[in-house]
Amino acid sequence: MTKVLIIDDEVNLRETIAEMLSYTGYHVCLAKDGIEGLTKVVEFQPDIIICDVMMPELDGYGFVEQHKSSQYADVPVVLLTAKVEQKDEEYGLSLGVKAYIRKPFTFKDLQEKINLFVKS
Amino acid sequence: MKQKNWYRLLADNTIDLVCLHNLDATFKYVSPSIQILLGYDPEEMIGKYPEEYVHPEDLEKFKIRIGSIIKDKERFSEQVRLKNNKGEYSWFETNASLVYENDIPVGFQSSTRDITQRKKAEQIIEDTLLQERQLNELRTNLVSTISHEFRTPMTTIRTSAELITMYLQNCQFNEAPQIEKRVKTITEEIDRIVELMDAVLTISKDDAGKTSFNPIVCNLNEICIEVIETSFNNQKDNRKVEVFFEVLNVAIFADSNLIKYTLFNVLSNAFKYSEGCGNVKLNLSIIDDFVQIDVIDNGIGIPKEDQSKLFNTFYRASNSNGIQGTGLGLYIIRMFTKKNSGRVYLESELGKGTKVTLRFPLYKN
Repeated sequence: MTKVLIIDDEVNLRETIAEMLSYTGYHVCLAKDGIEGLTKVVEFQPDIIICDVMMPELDGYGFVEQHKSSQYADVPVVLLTAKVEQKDEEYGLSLGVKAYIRKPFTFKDLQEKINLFVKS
Repeated sequence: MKQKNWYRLLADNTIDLVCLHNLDATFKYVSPSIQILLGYDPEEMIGKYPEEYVHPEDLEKFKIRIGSIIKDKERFSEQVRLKNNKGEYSWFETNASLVYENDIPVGFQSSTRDITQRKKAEQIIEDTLLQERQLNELRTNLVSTISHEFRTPMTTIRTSAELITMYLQNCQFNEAPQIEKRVKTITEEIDRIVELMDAVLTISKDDAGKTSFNPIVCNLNEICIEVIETSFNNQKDNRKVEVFFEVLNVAIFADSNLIKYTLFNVLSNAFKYSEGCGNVKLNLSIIDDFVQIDVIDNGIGIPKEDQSKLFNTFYRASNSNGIQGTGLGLYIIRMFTKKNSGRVYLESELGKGTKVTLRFPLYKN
């Protein structure tokens, strides 16, 4: 079962995404910001990380930077964000994330990205 | 001698300040208007340096000007603040030129006018412009913040609606189709709000001069193909874009993102307003020094009386009822086309279809 870590400070959104992914057969773990996210990567060892950008404490960009220099750097990250401008996407991709999904997204988009980047 | 008296009469009676200076700039003659303008007695100023009356912040540029008139024999016109006999400063404009006797410079003359009112008016204009800029900035930031802040709750609602649909597909109860229909409405309306938010954000960003614009030489045929393949190859009703390129590898100097956005919107309109009326055509041709893209549909068309107003914000044709739209699409299409030195034309016949033409100058090496 594919393990997905969802990092988002909005409780309603992260729980909805989690419910959706659980319902469609993924194993899900949640974190409320980048700092908790880094801990959960170690504990949960996900196959892919879905991460928000604008969060208190450690934001998505900060999370990606630290994640990329950790021993789990191979675990792909997809940013899921309300920052919709082209330059935000370019910055995100320059940090080495696999994809940049703008909010609001469709489940199909999300699922396609997960399946594309998780090593089968 | 008589002529000299006339000049003296003029100088003594003018409301501007008229002065004669020695070559070291000291006053040789000061007209009586100095009393009204600055409150000094003309006699007390003879032999003094004009610099004594100039505001410290204007002193450097004033000295440079005085130097240049003597050294380079240049006339000058300069705005400076001068001090009155109460120590208060106000704005004046001074014009000066050399005075010659037997072709030898013996000093210079200056005429100085009170420009306080003009300066006040300039300041008001400057303040108003600054205020307008700040308001524009504020509006852009506000629109941008709203767009960010609304996006996450919109996503939660949309995702929840999708989740409900998934649950419905796996359960058996009578009202499931009705619930599914309502949930679909929720999703569609969320998409509509987001589309509107995006359009308002795009316009507001452009108003504030913040649209990212990086023109490069690009291949217009390739851009057309990319837009079609990414967004119009899997239409639900299997309709297609029929492409005809009169010429291949057409180069224009433009921002490819804005061109893609424009083409996407033109094609998306064509499909939206021609449901059940066959394929959409895209023709690319060359006319003189321009490349022209015609996007043609056989849809509902636009009433004559609406056609000229369609490029206004929030204006929608009277026959567009029941077809979702923001009323901002064509406005943005024109905005981005203009930015890329292009023009948009629209031809339409009610009930027969619409042709939107984008025309850009060809790139020449």
